[in-house]
Amino acid sequence: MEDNMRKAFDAIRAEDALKQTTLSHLKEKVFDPTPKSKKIFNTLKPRFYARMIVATSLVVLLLFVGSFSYNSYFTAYAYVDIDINPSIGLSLNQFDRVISVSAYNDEGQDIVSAVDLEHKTYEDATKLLVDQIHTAGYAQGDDALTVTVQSPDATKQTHIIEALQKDLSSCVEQHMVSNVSVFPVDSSTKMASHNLNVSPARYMAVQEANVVDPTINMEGCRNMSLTQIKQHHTNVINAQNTDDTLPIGPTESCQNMHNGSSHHHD
Amino acid sequence: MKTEAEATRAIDLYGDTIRRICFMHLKNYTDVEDIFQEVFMKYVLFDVPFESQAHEKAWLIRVAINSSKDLLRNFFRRNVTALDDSMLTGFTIEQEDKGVLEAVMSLPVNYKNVIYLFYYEGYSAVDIAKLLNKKENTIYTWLARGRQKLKEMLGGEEFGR
Repeated sequence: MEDNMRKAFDAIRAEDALKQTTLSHLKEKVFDPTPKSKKIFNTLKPRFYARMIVATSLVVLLLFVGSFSYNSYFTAYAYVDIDINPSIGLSLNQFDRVISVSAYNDEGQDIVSAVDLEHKTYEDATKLLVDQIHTAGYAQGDDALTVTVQSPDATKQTHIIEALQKDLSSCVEQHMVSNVSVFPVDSSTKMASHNLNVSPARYMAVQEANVVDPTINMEGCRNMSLTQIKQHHTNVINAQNTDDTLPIGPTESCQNMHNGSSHHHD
Repeated sequence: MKTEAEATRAIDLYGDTIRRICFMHLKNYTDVEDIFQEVFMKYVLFDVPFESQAHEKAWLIRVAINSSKDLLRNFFRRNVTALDDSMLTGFTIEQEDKGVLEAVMSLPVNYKNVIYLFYYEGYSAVDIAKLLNKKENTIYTWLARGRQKLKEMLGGEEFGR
C-alpha cells in the first residue's frame, strides 16, 4: 500500500506557475511592495483619510461659517420707515444694508417697484426712495417727510438717526419736502404698527388723532398723507376749542377710505 | 519576518507537499492557489524560529491542513462547489494511480490526512498525533478505518494492511 500510495502521490507536484504566482504574491504583499500597493496600504490610505478628515472639517467649517454669515447677514438689526405717503419700510442688517423692503400702501408699492433697494446701505436706499417719491409726484414742496428708526442697539439707532437727518436735510433745501423729521420709536410701537401694516409714524399719528376724533381709524387713513392726518388732528382740536363742531374733509376722507374709496393726498 | 530567499527555499522544498495536501482537500485550482499562497504567507510572517527542518515541514503541513479545513467549512463551498475534473488533468498520472488518488480524495478528511501522512510522508502514528494535536489511539483508529475504506474501494490485500 505504501508503494502504491507513494507512486500515486509522486505525480502530484506543485506547478511552476503556482510557485511563481505565490512568490509574486509574497513579493507584492510583503517583500517588495510596489509604490502602488505600498502607498495603498501604508501611505495613501492614511493620507487619503487625513485629506478626507481635513476636507470634511473644512466643509463643516464652511457650512458653519456660511450658516453663521447667512444668518448674520439676513437677520434684521434695525428698521427705517419712511412715510410721506408713500409709506415704506426698510429692514437693515447689522452691516447697515437693506435686507428687505415693504410697502405699507399702494403708493408705497408704486415706489418700491420702481427702485432696487436690497443690499444697499440705508443712506443710499433712503436717498433713492426720496428721489423716486419726488420724481413720481408724491412729494411736493408742502409735504413733510417723516422717518422713524428702531433698533435694539441704541447706539446704532442714534447713529442712523443722525446720518439720515444729515442726508435728508438736502431734501428741504431742494424744496422736495417742507420738512424732514427723523426720530426713534420703541420696539412695541414698531411691533404694533407692523401688526397693522402701517409705518410707526402713521400709527402714532392715527393714534393721536383717534383720541380727539374716535371716528378716525387706521384703515381709513392708510392712503392719506401724514400731513393730512396731522392737519385733521389739528383741525379737530381747533374746532372743539371754538364751536365743538367737527370739520368735514379729512375726517370724511378717513371714513370714506374705510369704506373702500381712494383718496390721494394730491 | 522571513526573507524572500527563505520563502523561495521553503516553496522549493515544501511546495510539493503542500500541493498534495491541497490536492487531497480542495476541489478546484482557484482554491488550491489561495491556500498555497496563504500557507506560505503565514510561513513568511511566522517569526518563531523552527527547531529543525522536520519541525518546519510539520508546521507547514499543519497550516495547510487547517487552512484547507477552514476553507471547506465555508457553507457555500461545502454545499455548492463541485469537484473540478481538471484537478487531475494537470498531472501525468497512470490510470492505476489515478484510482488510488481518487480513492484517497474520497475519504473523510481525518482518514485521508492520516493515510497520506502515514503512507506517503512516512510519519509515525505518534508523530501524526502530535502534528494534528490528537490522541495516538485516535490516529490508529483513523488509520484502520481509512485502510478499510480504501480496501473496499480499491480491493486487494495490500490496502487492508
